[in-house]
Amino acid sequence: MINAMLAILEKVWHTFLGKVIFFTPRLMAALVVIAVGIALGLVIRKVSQRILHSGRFDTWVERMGVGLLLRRAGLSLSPGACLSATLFWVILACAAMLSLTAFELPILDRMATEFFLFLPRLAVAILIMGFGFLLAGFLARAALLAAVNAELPAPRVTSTVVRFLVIVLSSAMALEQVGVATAIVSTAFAITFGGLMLGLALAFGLGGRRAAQALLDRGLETKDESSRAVKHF
Amino acid sequence: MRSHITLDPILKQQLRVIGKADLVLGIPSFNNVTTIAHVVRAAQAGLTKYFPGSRAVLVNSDGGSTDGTQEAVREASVGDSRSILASHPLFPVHRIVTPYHGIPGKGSALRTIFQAAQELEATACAVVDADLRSITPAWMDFLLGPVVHEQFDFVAPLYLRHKYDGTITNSIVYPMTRSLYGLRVRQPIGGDFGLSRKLVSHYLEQDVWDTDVARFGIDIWMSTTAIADGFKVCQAFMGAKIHDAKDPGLQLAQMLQQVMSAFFDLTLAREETWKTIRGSVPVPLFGMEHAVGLEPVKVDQARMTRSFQSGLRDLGAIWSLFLRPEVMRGLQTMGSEPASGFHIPMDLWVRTLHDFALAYREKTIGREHLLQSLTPIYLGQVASFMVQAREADATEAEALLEDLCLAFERLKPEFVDLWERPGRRP
Repeated sequence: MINAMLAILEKVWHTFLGKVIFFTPRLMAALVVIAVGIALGLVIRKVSQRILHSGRFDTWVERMGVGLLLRRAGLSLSPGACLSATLFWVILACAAMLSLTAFELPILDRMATEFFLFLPRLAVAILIMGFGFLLAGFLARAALLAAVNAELPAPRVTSTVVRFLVIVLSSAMALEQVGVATAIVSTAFAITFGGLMLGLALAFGLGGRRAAQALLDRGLETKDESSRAVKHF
Repeated sequence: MRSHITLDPILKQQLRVIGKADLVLGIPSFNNVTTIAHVVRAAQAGLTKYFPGSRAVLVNSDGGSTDGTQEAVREASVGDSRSILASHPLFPVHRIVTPYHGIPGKGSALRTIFQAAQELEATACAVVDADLRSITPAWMDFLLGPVVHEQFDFVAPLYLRHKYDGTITNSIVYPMTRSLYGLRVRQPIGGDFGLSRKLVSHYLEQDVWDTDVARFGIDIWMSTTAIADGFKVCQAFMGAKIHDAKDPGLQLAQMLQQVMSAFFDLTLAREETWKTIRGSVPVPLFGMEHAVGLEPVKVDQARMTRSFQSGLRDLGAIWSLFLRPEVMRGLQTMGSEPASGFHIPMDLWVRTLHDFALAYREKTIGREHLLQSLTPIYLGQVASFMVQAREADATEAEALLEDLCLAFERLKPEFVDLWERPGRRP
């Protein structure tokens, strides 16, 4: 009996040794891949920071009106540093996923494959979000200028609503792209957007009748006056 | 020749039949049926009266009017000319109505007129707007006389206007053109000009007819080109100018944007010319200046002040991207000033415009947004001028504008210094 137990223990030991011999080099390889990923990520973060700094990326983002939005979102990093940090973490995530393939386990291989298949969609989603933020900044500023020049009440509210709508729209598109609860996102977006429009219509129709009347009156008054008012040319 | 668009075949045929002419009078038009007949009558009477021995052609270059403008031009009749003519004309005034081709706009209309003048080998050419209500036959003499008799190349109009009218010209275009190019041309965007054959050919040689110049900004482009390229420039006193609204559909912000983009584009293109110029000199004036009764103008100065203060509140974050901190601080001090005492110091207004010019050059923000953001400050400047000139007569109001022009000239070295250091940031 003791012999049988020893034989089993020996077998377990051999199995363990076999596993150790099997995994150790793979673990080492995985760690090397992660280490290289970290090093590469740090280098790319540094280089991208310098490129973005020399290209005045932060100033550009400020001019596009996105900087303020990022600060309001609680980001303490500058936009350039934020983008560089994102690049670092994306590279690190890629390295981590790549390192899993070193273990030659089907389940890990499948995970890594799925991750790399997911990457292009993630990139497109990030692009959509980035473009959405820029477009939101541009349109919000355009709406603000138009509202101020037309002497409409609360121009900043108009601008904020425009910005919010564009960001909501681009977020929904980005989430749809990465396939996160597609049905829920679409439905939630439709409900939110429809609800918002209905709410605005009701608010303006019921609560803002006097404001609408005043606005129309002022518009007519402007037209009446234009014939004898100052000629700017 | 850069102006590569060929003339309409029918127009070409009409010009061939006429052969040669001494004078060409051009009227660009688009839906001006209410005023154009009067303009044609006045112009034809003027050509006949003041240039009886000259062969003259009146060219109406129309942008596809749908209100009967072209018919109004064809049918306009001077009537019994004996009451205005002292001498019998030797030649009839030919009248041509033609559509223009290319980008829709006054610039394209004028190009067709210039091409016709060149084809006819005209000695002098004048252009007048089709929306004029105050044009008289004498305007032909004022615009063409200095070219025909005194060999000037460019005759700019000098109108008598209400002290509150022409505020874009008074607050921005005149003082800036004067300080940049050194000539005191009081109405650089007047719209009615006299031109020599040499200058017409020079205009047609420029590579601008497919740009925004063709759509809007032709007036300031013509004035600036004549001044900056060293042509002989003078002014003619035209009396009062009364005209219809330029484009009732356009809002002030859009009009200001068009004028300023044309102006700043020229500032960019002509920087080698204006950077070295300091001070300004008057240009010869033809015609006798006299006072005339002017239409009263209704102003809402309080509303303009409110527009400025609302702009300061809502657009301050945008302005601070390109205005110098001291300029921004200066504007902020006026955020709560009452309308009755509202006053933007001249130097502050000048520096503000300089910062806009620099931002336009550096594309600090999108140019369209940049120029749209100027409207509230401009309204503030107009409101400030109205407070200053409230009790002023025409001469005193003009003296205030002279002070503004001198401020632009005094601060020009500072502007040139900033211009030569691109990349400066507030």
